[in-house]
Amino acid sequence: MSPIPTKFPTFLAHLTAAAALLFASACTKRETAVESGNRTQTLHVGNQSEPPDLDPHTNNSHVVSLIHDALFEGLVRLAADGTTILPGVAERWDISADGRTYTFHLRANATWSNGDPVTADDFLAAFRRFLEPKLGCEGANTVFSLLNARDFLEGRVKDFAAVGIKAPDPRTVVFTLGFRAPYFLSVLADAHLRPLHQPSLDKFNGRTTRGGKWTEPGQLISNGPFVLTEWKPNAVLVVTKNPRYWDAARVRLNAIRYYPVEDAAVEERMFRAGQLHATFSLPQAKIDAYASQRAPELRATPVLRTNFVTFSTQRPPFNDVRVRRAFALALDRERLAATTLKGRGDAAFSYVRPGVGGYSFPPFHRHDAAEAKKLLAEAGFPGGAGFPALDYTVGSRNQDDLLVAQALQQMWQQTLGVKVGIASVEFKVWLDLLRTKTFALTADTWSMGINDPVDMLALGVTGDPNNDAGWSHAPYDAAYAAIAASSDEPARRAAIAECERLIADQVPYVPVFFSVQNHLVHSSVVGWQDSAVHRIDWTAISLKP
Amino acid sequence: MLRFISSRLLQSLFALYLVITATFFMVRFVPGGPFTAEKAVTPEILRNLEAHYGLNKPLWQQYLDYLGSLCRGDLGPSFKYPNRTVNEIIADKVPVSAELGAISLAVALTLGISLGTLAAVRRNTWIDYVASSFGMIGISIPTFVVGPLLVLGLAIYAGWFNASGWYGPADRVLPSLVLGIAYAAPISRLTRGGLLEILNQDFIRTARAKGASEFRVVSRHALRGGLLPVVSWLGPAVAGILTGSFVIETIFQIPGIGREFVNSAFNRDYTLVLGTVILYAVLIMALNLAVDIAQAWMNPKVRLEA
Amino acid sequence: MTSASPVPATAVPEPVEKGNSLWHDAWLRLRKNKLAVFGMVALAIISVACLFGPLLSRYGYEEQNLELGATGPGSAHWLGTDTLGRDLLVRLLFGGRISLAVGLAATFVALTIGVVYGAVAGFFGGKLDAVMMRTVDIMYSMPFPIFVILLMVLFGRNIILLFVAIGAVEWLTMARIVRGQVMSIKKMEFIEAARSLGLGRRRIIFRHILPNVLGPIIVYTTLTIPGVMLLEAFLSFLGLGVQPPMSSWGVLIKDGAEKMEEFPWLLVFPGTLFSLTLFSLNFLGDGLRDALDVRSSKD
Repeated sequence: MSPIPTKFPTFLAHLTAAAALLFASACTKRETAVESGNRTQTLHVGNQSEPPDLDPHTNNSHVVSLIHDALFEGLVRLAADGTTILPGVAERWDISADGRTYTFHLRANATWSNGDPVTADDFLAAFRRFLEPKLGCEGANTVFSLLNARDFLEGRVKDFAAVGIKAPDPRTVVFTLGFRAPYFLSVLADAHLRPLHQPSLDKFNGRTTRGGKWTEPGQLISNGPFVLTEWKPNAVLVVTKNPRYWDAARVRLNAIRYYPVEDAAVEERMFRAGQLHATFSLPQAKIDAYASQRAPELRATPVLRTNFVTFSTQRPPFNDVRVRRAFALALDRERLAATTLKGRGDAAFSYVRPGVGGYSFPPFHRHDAAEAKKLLAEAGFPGGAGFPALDYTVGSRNQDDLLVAQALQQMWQQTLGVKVGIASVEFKVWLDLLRTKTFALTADTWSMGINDPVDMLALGVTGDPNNDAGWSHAPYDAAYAAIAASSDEPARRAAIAECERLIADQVPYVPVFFSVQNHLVHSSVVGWQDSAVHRIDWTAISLKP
Repeated sequence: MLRFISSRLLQSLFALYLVITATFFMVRFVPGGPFTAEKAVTPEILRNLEAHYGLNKPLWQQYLDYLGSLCRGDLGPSFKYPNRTVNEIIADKVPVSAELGAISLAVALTLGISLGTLAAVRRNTWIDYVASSFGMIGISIPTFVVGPLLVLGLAIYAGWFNASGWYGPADRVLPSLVLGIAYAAPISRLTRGGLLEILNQDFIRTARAKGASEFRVVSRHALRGGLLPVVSWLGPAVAGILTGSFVIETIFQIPGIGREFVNSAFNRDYTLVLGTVILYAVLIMALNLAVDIAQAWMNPKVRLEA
Repeated sequence: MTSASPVPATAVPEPVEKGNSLWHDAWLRLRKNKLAVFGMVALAIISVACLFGPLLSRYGYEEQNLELGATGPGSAHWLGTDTLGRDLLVRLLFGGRISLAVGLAATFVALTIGVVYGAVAGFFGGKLDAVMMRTVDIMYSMPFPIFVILLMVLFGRNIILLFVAIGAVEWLTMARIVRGQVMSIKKMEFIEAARSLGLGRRRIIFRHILPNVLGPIIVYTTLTIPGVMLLEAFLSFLGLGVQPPMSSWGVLIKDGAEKMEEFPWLLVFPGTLFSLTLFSLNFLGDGLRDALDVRSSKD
């Protein structure tokens, strides 16, 4: 009398019944999430990956920034175009003539979601926490323009009173900068620099520690257009309209549901099945299909991300500038953009994307196979003879990135006659190779955290932690220092142009393409505007049924 | 019996200690750390970060600290998810994977045992070939192909299901079907093999000679012994099934622990890697013990030896 | 001692007087199994095609034609091209070499470690056996996918390492099977009989023990290869497969699965060939199991 055969029929019957029930319920026409969302003004968004935490200071990924834009409001906020600065908690501000003192006047009706007023001291406390040495906030370098901020973070200044931020009264915040930084307002609009509700921080000892429970639903007190109501890790994060937001009348959506869908193909299928109003990604293979069949839903937004090749400039053969130039000239970017990239990127002829912060650059890096061959021969490798075998290191798991790498590899091999392999390594291993400079040349990228060329030009400065090329060039360091030291805009413009020219001349980095973000927005979504800085104004969005 | 179990528990504890130690040092030798981020921070910031989690202490000290907190049942904080502990993450996600696993296992057993029995009873006929071929689908086509195909057909074109997600009962159908088919294959093969062996034995011939119907012979007499190989296979397999599947959980956007097994390694979330390894090891040891006891009960020939 | 081993050490083929007839009988039985024969023939054709096919093609596996891009099957490219304009047929056959090589090499590693380890444990028995088998039990409780991933991460996407890493995972079951078989055969009457007849130790081992252990080994080997090939595909899914521009079936299928709606041929051809190979290997393995009358469970 064994139980398996005897119990089996009943078990089978249960299973059959359950299956039949599911099948029946499945066959009736279902209302999709998008349809019900349109009815209830609930936006369903695919948000790429799980937010590690909602602490604005210790997290700087796009994923978290997009949620913070719904939850918190800083002194100023970014308009949907990504460049215009609008009043936030501050209703107005004054900038001193030398561009080094910013005075913000807070509105009286700004409140926290529990009714407490938002005060100047909340901003002061937030900046204090952002620069707290014990917390080690990764994005803190964005406010290094603030007087003594860097020294405080790195322990050389112990007294926070020396840092250039003051709250003379509950409705005034004054910033003093260490140098002129025309981008300072856009830094303040950044997702990091939001006020924090001090009593709830204190409840969890959150001022000096990471990972407090104050970011959980029910505990998180915020001051933005939405409040956090639900957070199921790896499933969904829900924010709902905040009735206490000072400008609540502007907010049309009742709720936003963020789904951390890591796989772009999965996200696209969810969009097609009517589960998502919007995605933030689209597999490259799908671009053509959407462009021809569902063009209004396809958004292609140029973003502030440059994809470039980094040479290890301290080691042969790339310590020779002629070899670096030869490799740069061998690349045919237009051909790449027209074939392999196909809508994923624009050919890059400068290091910083033209237009960033209002600056533009002449196109460097034109394809010139003859010159490339000549330079390589001058460097002692005529026709690639005697050139050491080396690998082009790729740290991305993305199949599309690997395709680009293979196309570049062929261009080098065919134009220069050199043998270049591809070493595709796991992402953090790749980062380790970058930091230890144990690579020959690698596929690199940079997403700009500040909408200003300095953000990316810093990568060329001797000793900068992100100077992956290990490049050290005194004229460049001088030119970069001149940007901060410039007392007026023409001087600043000239210094930036000099930096860009030196990079084109010395080629520690070879720009390949500027990313274009392809993604999907459902036709029922009104007011969705993309910008180069990958931020969304959730308050501008509504849904038409 | 009691002596057997207690001795096995002691052995398991020792094995667990070895597994923990090996994993602890192995993850530390992998290049890159939990705070190796795309944008490098200044050395000062990195030092502060590491100090916060005690990563600046000597490795042996960290190892002892970890063992100490482990004895208190504390698996430590997650590096990747600062406001969650490893205990919370496991408690949060294991039930999801276990539910998916249980349903898939039911599908797999139903499918696998029926196909295997059919194939064994009609050995070397076209029924055997069809049943065996069908059972083979699961181990011949990767789940990352079957999954998207089913989603395209049943969710996107037919519109019966969500493309992915884990909300209502209907969302359980596709993932457990894909996972179930994958596990049905070995079950059907083991059932077929096990049954063939039993069906040749004397007591089956006796039963047949007595005029018992073929169905009765198989269901009453043969299956008990014939499923022995399936049971011994189930031990380690159930641990795998219950701890989720990276592919299925990715394709169907399921908040289970299976994805953490892989992602924790990619994130260098040392404590979470250890947490998942411990979870898996404990499960497998417990299930192996259960299998041994079950086998002894199903087959008196196997004696429990300590 | 044997408690944790799921291999019942009971069923062993009847001793056969003439060693040859065992294999002869097995061959006759195998030939009657249509699926196994189909598997054998299919495997032979696929292996030959993968080995020699790329030599006959006018395209190289890494030869790009960016302007051509992905095109469907046609007269220039029989199975079409991928998004870089590379000939799919050549990449498929070349990938087959890699995948089959990974399967064979990793299985060989598993086989070598497993047979030696299992035989030593089974032959000497006693304390040594207890320690060795306990070690296997401990290793069984490790989540091997994690270790393979850690290894791949640690040492890079090195194809040799892939063999070794996967082989190091798969040897455990082999060790258990061999040990169980050796132990039970050692005790069998026909071995005693052979000894009392004055046969040499060598003759006993090669004529009596080995043939009886060989059956399960062959069967398990045939069944390990598909598992290894699937693992290779899984690693490719994680982006830890072979280095581009090299191809393997796992890489091709992963790539094809991502583009199955736009460029279905990129999935259909690699998927079919991969599945056909795995089908064939499994059928052959099952057929061998029946033919060699290996009645104990797979693991």
